[in-house]
Amino acid sequence: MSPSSWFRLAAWWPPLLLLLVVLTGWQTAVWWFDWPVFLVPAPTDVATAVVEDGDRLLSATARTGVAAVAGFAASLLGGVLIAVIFSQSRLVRASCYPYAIFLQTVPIIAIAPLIITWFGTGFASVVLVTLIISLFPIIASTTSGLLNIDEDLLELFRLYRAGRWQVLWKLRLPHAVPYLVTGARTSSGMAVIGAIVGEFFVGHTTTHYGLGYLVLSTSQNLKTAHLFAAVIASALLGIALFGIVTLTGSTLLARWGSGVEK
Amino acid sequence: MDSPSAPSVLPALSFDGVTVAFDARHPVLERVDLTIADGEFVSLVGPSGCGKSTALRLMAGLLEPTSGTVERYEDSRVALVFQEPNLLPWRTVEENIRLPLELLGVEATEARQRVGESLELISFGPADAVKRPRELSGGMRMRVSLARALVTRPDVLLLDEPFAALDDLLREQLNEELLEIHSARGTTAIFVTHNVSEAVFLADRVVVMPATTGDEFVHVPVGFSRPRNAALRATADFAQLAGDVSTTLRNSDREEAR
Repeated sequence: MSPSSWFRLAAWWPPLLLLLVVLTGWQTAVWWFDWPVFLVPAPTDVATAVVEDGDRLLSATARTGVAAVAGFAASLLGGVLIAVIFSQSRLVRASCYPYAIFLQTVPIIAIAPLIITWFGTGFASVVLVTLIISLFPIIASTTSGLLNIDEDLLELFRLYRAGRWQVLWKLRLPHAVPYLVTGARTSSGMAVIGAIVGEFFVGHTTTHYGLGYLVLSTSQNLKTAHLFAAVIASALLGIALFGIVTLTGSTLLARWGSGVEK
Repeated sequence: MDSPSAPSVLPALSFDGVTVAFDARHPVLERVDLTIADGEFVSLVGPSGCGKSTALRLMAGLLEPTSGTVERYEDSRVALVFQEPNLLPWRTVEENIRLPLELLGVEATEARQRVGESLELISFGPADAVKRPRELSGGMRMRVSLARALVTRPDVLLLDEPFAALDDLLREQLNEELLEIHSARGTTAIFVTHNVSEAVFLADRVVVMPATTGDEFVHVPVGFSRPRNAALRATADFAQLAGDVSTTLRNSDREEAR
């Protein structure tokens, strides 16, 4: 085994050990205090729920995952496009930026009725909520990447009479890539949250549902072990999407070099 | 040696009563007259904040004078080398060098040939050409920056303290390489620096800019024959002249203090 894989193994052990200790403590506490299962289910209860609910969990996770990915993709496309527009004019930036911040701060629960009125309940509304929640980090990071350019480089491009498009295409956009990667990582985590919150408020029927509905229905029915199972599935989905985006990002950055070389 | 007021050959560049004032009461340059001959190598020295970089940006056409005129010979091509290499990290060495040609719309075959020439000029082999800036040392990056300027075959090469961030040994080595390139190409060069020894070693004429805006520029001709090499720095004449320039520079600074 090479030293680096040993190192990776060494990094895995401590958190795994901690998990084992916590699970054992938890199981013992439930047994010792005799808590009712609807209040605090034991890890074994949760495991049983996962097995029992396997198919439902899987299809709900897939459904939520698809909505999160769709919303995230829409954020990437839309965010970069909006950032490009922002980068072209101080006036546009000054007049539109406050509304971009609005996206970041508006409580989804407040606009949920509006979304339902306009788009109905279902997949499209969930994707829309995901988009609203995950868009801002992309806009903010990409805009600063497009604008934070060394004055010397802009002069270099001016010296060779570069047009607006050449500056955008050959300087601003490539310069913004590392910024975009940072924004995409934040955004991917928020996209999963957005999809679950969206399902919670605007996106479920009793036959087609994702993790958001599963969380809602299991908690209303005091099926706490199943609620735990749904929460774990949500966390895993978030970690998976974040992991994929982070991995793709660092692969891209390795090729890119980060920032401008001095 | 060309006298500063009446160059014997065509002027590559001239300032006629040039004033630059970003605000009306504190002009950066005031009624400056300066003529630079075709093929001449001029070092521009002066205290910090005397307007050296402003002068260079006027020559590059990146800045318009508030009054007066800046004239360049015919439609001469100008290239600029900055203090930082300012390479694009996502491009390889050869892609960085090719950038100005892309912006100017030079056709691909022609561009490939010129990039090849430029790489040769800085002695970069095929393996170095595909490296990215972060894989290069500071000196190598500076060479690439120089090659990127030369690839457009400029008539006038403007250098804004290009070697200031490098250590002395590397600086002297790059000075010699720059002289070789200058003599091979016959390019007019204007070199801004804080380093008097460097200024004298490179130039046909050292222009000392005054600390006080509006005061006279002092022109010090440098008569050493070319090609010059490292041995020149060790001669008494060189030390004498460098001393003179230093004194002039100090006096100009003292004016400011008065």
